[in-house]
Amino acid sequence: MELLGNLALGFAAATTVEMLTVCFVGVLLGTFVGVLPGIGPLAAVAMLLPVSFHLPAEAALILLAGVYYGAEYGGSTASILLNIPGTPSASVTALDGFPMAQKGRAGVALVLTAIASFVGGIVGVIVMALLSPALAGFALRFGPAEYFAVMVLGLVAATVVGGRGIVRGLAMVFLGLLLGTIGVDVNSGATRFTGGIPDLRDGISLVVVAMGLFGVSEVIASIRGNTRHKVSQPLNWRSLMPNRDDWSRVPGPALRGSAVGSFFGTLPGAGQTVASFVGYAVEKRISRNKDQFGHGAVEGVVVPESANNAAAQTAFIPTLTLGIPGSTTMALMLGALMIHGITPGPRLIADHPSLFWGLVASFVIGNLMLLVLNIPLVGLWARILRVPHAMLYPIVAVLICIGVYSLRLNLFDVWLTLGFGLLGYAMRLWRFEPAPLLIGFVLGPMIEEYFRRAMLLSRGDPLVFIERPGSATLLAIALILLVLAALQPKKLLLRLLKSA
Amino acid sequence: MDRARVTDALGPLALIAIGIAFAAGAWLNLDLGTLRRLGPGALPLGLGLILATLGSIALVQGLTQHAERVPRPDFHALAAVGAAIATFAILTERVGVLPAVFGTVLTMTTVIGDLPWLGRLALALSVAIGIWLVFLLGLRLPIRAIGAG
Repeated sequence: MELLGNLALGFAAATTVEMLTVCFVGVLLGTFVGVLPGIGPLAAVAMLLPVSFHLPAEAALILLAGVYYGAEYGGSTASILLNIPGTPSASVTALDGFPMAQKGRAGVALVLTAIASFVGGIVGVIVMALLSPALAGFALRFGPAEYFAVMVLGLVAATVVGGRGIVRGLAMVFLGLLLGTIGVDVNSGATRFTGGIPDLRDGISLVVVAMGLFGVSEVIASIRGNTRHKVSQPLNWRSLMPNRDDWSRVPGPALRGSAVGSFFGTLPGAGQTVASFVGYAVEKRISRNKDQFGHGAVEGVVVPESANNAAAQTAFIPTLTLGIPGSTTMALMLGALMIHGITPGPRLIADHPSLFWGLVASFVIGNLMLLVLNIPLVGLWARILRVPHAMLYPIVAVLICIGVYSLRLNLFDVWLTLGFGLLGYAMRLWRFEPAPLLIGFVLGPMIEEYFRRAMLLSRGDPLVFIERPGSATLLAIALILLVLAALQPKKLLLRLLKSA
Repeated sequence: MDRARVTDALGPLALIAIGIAFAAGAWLNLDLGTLRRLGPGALPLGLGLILATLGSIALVQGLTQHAERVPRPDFHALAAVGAAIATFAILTERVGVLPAVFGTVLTMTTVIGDLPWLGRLALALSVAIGIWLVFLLGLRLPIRAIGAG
């Protein structure tokens, strides 16, 4: 079987000492930032981007991906112990996790979420291994018009992610696209919008934009939420062990959560948060223990955690096979690939098999590591929550500066990062989402390239985008998504959750 | 019109200005090309005009729908982060990265002001040592540790 051969290749690539180390460091850091409310996986991935440039492409991706899905494991810890989600998608886990903690069952909840996360992660990886080659094979028939349409779909999906209305989201996408045009145009060699500053000739670095918008502005916004959290419960081994009744309530919900999560993860723009919300709502509707939901039901922590971890893995499918990032973090992964000279798209699996299958294998290994890391170390992670913010944020600020500076030893980049940080903070105040901006910025150069190529091939006829069935279909889907977004999906989702 | 609405309108207005600036820059300074062979200015012109349009729609939405108050910026936090990053940029150029890291942490914790002096110095020193161990010794980033670049 071809799949087995591919997996063998992947495991061979992912089990070298270097890759195992990188994977371990990634998931460890990921759990750490996931546990800490305030620093999200996104900021962590952004901070590690410059470091990853010094690694080979495979190792870079394994590291960044490890941080990303490791954070999904860690995100539930603060949800359960403090009722403060460490990551957005863990907010659903708090619904039943925090009541469990109040009943003295925090340890049980933490162990069960680790197991649920593991089930979700593994199911997600299996879906990814089965689905990606097929999807990529299909997408290989794309011409420039279809690629352009795929990118538009990705951008529309990025807009839908934000909850601030489509006009504001789209405006951010276009601002990102425009910022992406700064620098030398590869087609004509003309310099665009640099204002005569030589440091801008190569364009603005993705790291600068990401660190500014997400790192710096995050620090500014949360630096003074300076409360030290109290985790009162002592966690010991006895209080960790779920009883027989708990165990019997894990397998069904975990698998259903994984299925829901796998599905929503592949949809660009839906992502982990939607996956865990929908998984929870579905489970609540079909469960025999309906009345316990919201009061510490075991299913209530198992389902969202399996769903968001499955979604975290399947989010890589559109990213790696089509080059559409479903979320901001995925946009950073795309950026990391491009910086290593790898063009994301349907050719990726065929051209770089050891990268793709190595990544798949590293997911399996990483999830195993996380399971081992999380269960015995539950107490340790809980203690991390006591680190005072007064110490944390200066460290984050320094890491941002070092990361940006190490890119090309250019202090102009550091100043520019501060500028983007102020922009990001202003956007927060004026209710504009930074995520669509970043995705627009990443996809901008590719969109322009495909658009110009498609226009050249069609001899200047813009109708080519709706005459070719492939691109017409994709653009139609993008349009439908926009209309659906206009109907405010968050409200629909909340209604679904309430009615359940 | 009340002040909250005016403040809220500044966001969309800035977007309109940025859109027009990009479009005008493309129109005046860059080759637009032909439909078949689009020049470097074609896309920025189109994108800039669309951004300005979206900004206008957001402006109208903001003026006609119920106003949301723009929160007061946290100037204390802005000063802390701004001073920290500026310290890093200025000191790195003159005395090297490690003293700059020390200065950055010291500046930021001083502006925030909720650690005692000894705590600030200890934190600054340990972060500088940590950066040296991880980034310079461990990852071997080609950065000059101490001394003017």
